[in-house]
Amino acid sequence: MTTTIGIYVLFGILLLPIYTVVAGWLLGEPRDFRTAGIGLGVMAAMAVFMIGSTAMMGIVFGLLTSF
Amino acid sequence: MATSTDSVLEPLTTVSKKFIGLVVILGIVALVMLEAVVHQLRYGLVVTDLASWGTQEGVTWGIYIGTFEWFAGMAVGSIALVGYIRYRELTRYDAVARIGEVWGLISGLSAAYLIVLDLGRPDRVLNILTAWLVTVQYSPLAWDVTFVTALLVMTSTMLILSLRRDLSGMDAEELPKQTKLLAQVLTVGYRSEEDEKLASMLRWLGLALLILAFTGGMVPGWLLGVVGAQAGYYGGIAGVSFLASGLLSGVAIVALIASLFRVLYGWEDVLPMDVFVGLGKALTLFGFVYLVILFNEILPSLFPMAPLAESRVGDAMLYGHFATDFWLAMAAIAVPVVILAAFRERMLASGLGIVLVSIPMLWGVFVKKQLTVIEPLMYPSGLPYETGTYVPTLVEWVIVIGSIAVAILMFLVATKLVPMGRRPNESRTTPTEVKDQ
Repeated sequence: MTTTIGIYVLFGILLLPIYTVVAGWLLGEPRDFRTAGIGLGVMAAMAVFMIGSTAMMGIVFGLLTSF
Repeated sequence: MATSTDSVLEPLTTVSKKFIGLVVILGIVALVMLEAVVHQLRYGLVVTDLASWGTQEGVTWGIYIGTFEWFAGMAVGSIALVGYIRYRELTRYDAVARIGEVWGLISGLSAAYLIVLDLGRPDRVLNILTAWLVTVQYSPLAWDVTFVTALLVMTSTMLILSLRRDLSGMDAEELPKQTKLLAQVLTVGYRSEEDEKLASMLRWLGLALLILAFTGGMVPGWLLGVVGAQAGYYGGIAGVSFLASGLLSGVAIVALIASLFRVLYGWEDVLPMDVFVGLGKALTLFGFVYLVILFNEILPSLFPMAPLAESRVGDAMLYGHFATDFWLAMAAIAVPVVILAAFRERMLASGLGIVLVSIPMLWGVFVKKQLTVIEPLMYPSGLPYETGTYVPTLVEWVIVIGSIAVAILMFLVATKLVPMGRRPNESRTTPTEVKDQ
């Protein structure tokens, strides 16, 4: 049971804002896929940056941790 | 005093001796903190007073997690405020939104690294990333990682896109060198035809931030609320309680910073008094709601029918070792709420009135967060263990105080890089705002 709760939390709650942004930017008026694309590109770049910098932090911490 | 046209740019172009002095002091604190972090990484969590429940008579989570919850709460409150302002296009609150964007991002980052520092092996944050696809199916910690990442991504996107709009409307020659460079990067490929779409996108992103704050914003509370084995943690109100405290502290810190900007830079035109009356109303409401939720959270543990473990925690909170801290924290929230409710317009007219109510509220939420995390762990449920003890070590205090200093330092640096508002002539009153007034 508990192994399925996370799927509902992830797709039903945590990702709601992402659905809102993607739908609103692509389908909202005025239609301008170029500007919407820039926005989605910024968001994707930020996601890569945040996850990448967390991984980098883990690597640096690993170098400092002697045990 | 600055004129209305250059007042928005004034924080970018002026560097006073007091500013430099403050940066130097905060920088020194940051270096001391860095030394403490390296010390902990080299020797492990043994340099803290954290210990296992039961036979070690300790607590497993201490002031790192309490401070994480405080920063995460401020991030939630900040993005809720930003989301509402951007969604409703309340252009008179533009400077408040920008402050919220910057502080929300800084708070989110601070929360993120504090929780990593609390890991026994912080380098294993890599495991959290690689195992995410599996753990997100059942672990609130994985949900929390997802929420904090989403918060950081969406807040930084809001900051970048709103800056693209604002900087494209400014004369590059008037900007200082560092901001001019930033403007060149953020307005790459800008065309004037995208203005209308950009405004619409900021509105949608504002709505998304609001949704994120009011749904994902409960996740850090669930970290405690789902722990069925721990009296004082378990319960359905933990997520809502976290959200309410976050809304209060987020609005309080943004209002505090905005008020300081108004006084220091004479921003009567950028931040008119009615903006602070609006923020004061929000603080009154969120403070009252938080107190009501806290009452509901604590009452069952005091009732004679409460399970023994729950009543031990409840009694300790109200009458035990940390009771003075608890009651002072409650007073620090309740008294400003009452003062704001009774004298809002009169006390805010002084300009610094909101500072006087925000600081105790922030301190009250900080202390309550620490007690919420630490105190229940001192009373293990269901086993005949002695009451635990916890006295944060010097390393813990240095890292916690340092994290606050680093957050302030990052914000100070941001004020010299990013315009903290739009020029008054760029802010149009929208139909929504006319209706609100």
